[in-house]
Amino acid sequence: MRLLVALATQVLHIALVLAAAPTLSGALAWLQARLQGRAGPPLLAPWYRLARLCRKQPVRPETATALSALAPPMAFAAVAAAAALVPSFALGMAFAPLADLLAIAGLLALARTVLALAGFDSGNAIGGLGAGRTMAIGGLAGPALLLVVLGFALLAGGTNLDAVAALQAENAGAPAACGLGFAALMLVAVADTAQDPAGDAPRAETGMLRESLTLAFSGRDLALIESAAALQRLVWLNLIAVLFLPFGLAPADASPLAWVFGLICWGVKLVLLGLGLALVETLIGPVRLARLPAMLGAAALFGALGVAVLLAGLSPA
Amino acid sequence: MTAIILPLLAGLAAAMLALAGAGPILPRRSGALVGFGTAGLCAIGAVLALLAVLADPTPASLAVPLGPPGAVLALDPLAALFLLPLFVAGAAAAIATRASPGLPAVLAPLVVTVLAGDAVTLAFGLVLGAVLGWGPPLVRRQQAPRAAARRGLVAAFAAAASLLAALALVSPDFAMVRATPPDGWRAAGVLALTLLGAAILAGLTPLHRLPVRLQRAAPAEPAAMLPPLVAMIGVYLLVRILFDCCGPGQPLWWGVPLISLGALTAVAGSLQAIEQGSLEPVIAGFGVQQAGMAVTGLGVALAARAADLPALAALALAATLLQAGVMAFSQVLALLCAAAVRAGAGSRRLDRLGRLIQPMPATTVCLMAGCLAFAALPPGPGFAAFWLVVQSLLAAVRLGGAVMQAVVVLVVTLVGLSAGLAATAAVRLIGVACLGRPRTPRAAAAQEAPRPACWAMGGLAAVLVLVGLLPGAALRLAEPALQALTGSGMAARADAVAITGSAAMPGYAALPLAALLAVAGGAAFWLLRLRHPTLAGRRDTPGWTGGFAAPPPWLPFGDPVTQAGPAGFARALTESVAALRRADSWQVPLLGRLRRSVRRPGWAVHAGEPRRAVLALLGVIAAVLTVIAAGVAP
Repeated sequence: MRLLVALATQVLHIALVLAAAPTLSGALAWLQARLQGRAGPPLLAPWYRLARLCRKQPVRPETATALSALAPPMAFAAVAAAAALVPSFALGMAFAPLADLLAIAGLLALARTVLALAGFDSGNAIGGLGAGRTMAIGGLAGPALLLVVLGFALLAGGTNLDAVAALQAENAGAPAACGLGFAALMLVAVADTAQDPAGDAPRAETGMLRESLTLAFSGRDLALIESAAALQRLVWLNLIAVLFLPFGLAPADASPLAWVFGLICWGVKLVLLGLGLALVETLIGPVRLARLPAMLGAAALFGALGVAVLLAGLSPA
Repeated sequence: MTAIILPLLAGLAAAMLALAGAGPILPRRSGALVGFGTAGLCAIGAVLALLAVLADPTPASLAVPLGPPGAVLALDPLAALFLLPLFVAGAAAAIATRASPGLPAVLAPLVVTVLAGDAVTLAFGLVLGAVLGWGPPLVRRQQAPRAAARRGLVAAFAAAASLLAALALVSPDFAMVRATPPDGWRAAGVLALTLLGAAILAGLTPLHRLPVRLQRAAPAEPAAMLPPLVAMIGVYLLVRILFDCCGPGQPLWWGVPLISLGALTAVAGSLQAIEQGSLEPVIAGFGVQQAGMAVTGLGVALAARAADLPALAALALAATLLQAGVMAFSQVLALLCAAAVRAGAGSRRLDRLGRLIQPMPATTVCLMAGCLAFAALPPGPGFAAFWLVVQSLLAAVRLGGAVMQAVVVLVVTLVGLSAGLAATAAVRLIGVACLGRPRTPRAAAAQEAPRPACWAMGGLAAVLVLVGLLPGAALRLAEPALQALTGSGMAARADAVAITGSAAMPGYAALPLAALLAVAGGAAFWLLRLRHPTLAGRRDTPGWTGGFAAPPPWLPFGDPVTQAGPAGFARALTESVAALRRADSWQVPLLGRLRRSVRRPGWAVHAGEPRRAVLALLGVIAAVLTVIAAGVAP
């Protein structure tokens, strides 16, 4: 019975996440446009775009190799696996034992690596350039990410996301450290998802990064890559929501009522985080590529400060 | 059981030496005999080592009748564990580079080094390996291999002298050291000198350029296989001398130099991997990164044992052992691929390669498997080792006071950076060498490696993939060594499905994660293939050239400069790290001068300055004699 509930939660979670990702992308684009005083695209624009791409005949450069055929499914699979592991509305999903924080970060890095290799594949200059920049952003995000993981490992005694989230939902201790960790993870998320091409206007250089990697793709391949990008943004928001806003999460083997409450709370959290993201991006404008290292350095600093606050609280003063 | 296996292994090493000696005498037609003979001997050795690992944890020792009095060979689970990758990688290298008498001549001394039970045998093995490995290129006509050989020889002599000096502080015999472990200033001296020796062997900071330089000028001979195996032995010697021989009585701070040095080495190695322009130096950079991660794990293990936390010590030591094994396999695999590329595509320079995936598919896939191990990406073997190192670091925060905590937080930052840098370097290596357009006509007409080499590389790649999917099974091999060294093991925390840091929390489950990836990827692939009724199939068109003019007719594969090359890759990353590295940018007046003076001391051996190297060597020997004299005096 317990296993059945866990499986049901997992399946529902995967379906919801897959459905929510493009919608969230559209909502964020609309929100940003509204904040800038424009009418904005329809909420479901990413869905229309995906449907349109699926109807198109795929075109591939002659220079592309087998890797180009494999890269979109592989990148999508890595992001989808990460999305299946990060809880949305309930804990105790069937894949909870796999949901290690380092493994989730590794899966996102795997998707990034596969896409970067695909950027190299067709042999155009911009693809290789974009590959280097994408990997650089991922590499610079590593320290901040590991420091946040270190903080939660200190709190929970391990890196399993389900256990960490359960602990956070029970008693969200160390508010100062959590605030710093939140800032760190938010900066990493902004840096990592600033490349989502589903946004309404082509944003500065960072927006062109993923574009440069996907130049050689069209049709369904491109649809898969774009849904992976949207899913990646949702993974980050889910991760932040589970770690720092754990209210309303349905505990393991909870009643369906708790699920409904959890679903409502998840929606509220996504709206809150999305609003915050849109506000930040509107206020500070698109992040320039040259400022990304400084931004990710600041994220690492926030993470280190958070760990320091935690350690100061832990040590017998 | 080990008492039977040890003489057999010693005989095996002697047989290898005999085979190497007989190689030049044998008629030319039986040249393949040497290659297959070496492979067969290595296979027997691997089986023996596996038996010694699995069967019996009791150590055995054997007095050597030859050589200096008191020379002892010893076999215990730790030595057997390190012999295993040595033999397996050696067998693969022997099959790939057939008819090369140099290979058994290099392998046999390394086996002796691992089996050594006293300092003199240890130094003898190291020096003999270096002489037999670097000797042939030393008498070559070309300048570059000669310089590399000189450097390799001096490094091996210096490492041997340093390790001799370290053990001379206590007792040359390992068993004696175990019985009376050093304390006080002697212990500090042992730590410093052992670290120096291992730093020379494994390329720890500030000597991280040494393996890269060796590979940059290395000849295409078994000597090129020497640095990664010697680096693994450097890690082994650290474990053997600092962890095993010096015993549990050492203070907590012993871990700190290893943890910090390892993390700095990891970052320096990945930077080398991003910056170097040829295949082998890039691979050597990855090797330095892996050695750094292993040393970090060992530092945590030392500190945890001093704090009397055997479970954490076992976790950290398991991380070190797994990382060292993955390093040996992936380094040898990647170097074999590099040798295949050099033979098949005519160059090792990244800016002369490109699109090797089409003419050399097997080599490319094997190189990708190696790079999966270099870049800590799930579900590869590198990620399992990285995961264990990070877990042990996360637990190490609670070990000591504020200094230890600060060190661990800094080290976690560096480890995260080095993993990101390594993934970037792996993308650069594969993307530039194997994907895109060929940069020269020679690369376009590349030839796949011969069948045996493909099999050897494929075998090593399969071993790596298996270790990545089943890290728990690989750790099961390390269990006797962990039990013997830490009194605790990983048996309760590592099974076929997952490895965990603590039994209370689920950890990293490689196989289910890979299954999840495969199912998701398969579904996505199936969705792609699902054909819309009105939709035509895929159409191939000339790719967009990025707006560059059409290439002239004498460049049939397009202008090589119109695609991204190896230079200046991921500049945002390398420049930000370089800015941290530059002492001048910190506005500390003395630091810059200090760095400049550290840059060119005697031990950083330059090709044109052999006199300095000799002086440094003499200095080390003088130090050894002084120390021995001091030890005898009271």
